[in-house]
Amino acid sequence: MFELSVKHSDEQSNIIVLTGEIDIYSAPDFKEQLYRIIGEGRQSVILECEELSYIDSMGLGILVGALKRLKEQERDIVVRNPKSNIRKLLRITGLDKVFIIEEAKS
Amino acid sequence: MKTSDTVSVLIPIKPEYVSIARLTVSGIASRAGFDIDTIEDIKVAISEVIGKIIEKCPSDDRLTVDFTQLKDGLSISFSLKEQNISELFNSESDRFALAIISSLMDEIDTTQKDSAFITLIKKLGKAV
Repeated sequence: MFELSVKHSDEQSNIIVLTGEIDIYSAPDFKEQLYRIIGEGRQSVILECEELSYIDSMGLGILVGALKRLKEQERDIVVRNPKSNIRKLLRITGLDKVFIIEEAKS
Repeated sequence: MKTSDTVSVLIPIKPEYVSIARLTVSGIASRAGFDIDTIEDIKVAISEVIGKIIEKCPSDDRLTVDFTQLKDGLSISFSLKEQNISELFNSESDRFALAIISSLMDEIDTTQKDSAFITLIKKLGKAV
């Protein structure tokens, strides 16, 4: 099961809560929702990942695509509080150097 | 599960069945003696392989996943009945998947062996 919800939105940032698993089954839904939110806003995006239990390479590819779009407008993506298994995948793929990763904020 | 015993799972090549393979490998890897973190790694790796197969080979064919207990680990082979895939990781967008699988598993063999076109091996006592 996967869910994406907008927790808070102001002029600086759009806080999005990710819940469940992003895999080949849920990735199309994740992409559609994330890109729509990015397209509608002018802020950077904070992804709250405390309740995200899994993301596969397809999901990571979607995040990279989203970051490219945002960077064109000098916006950014912050990955907040990823679980250790997701942090491990970010490290393996080198994406821990690409995304801003924040810890321990609620 | 004795050494060289094989458990096979036959699934449709569709996204909604990837979780079946992940659940199956949990039980098998647990019986083989892997710890929880390593079982998670194996689940992630086989999800990446099946995801790429679905991407490259959408069809009505079914995927066979063979889990074979080795003396020092677990071998996981993937085969299709009606076709073969020669290049599972041949594009730029596949590099994340290949990096993840290479990092989490001990061996990846993409040479055709019998009907299997890719085999992953995880050895006991070598957590990442």
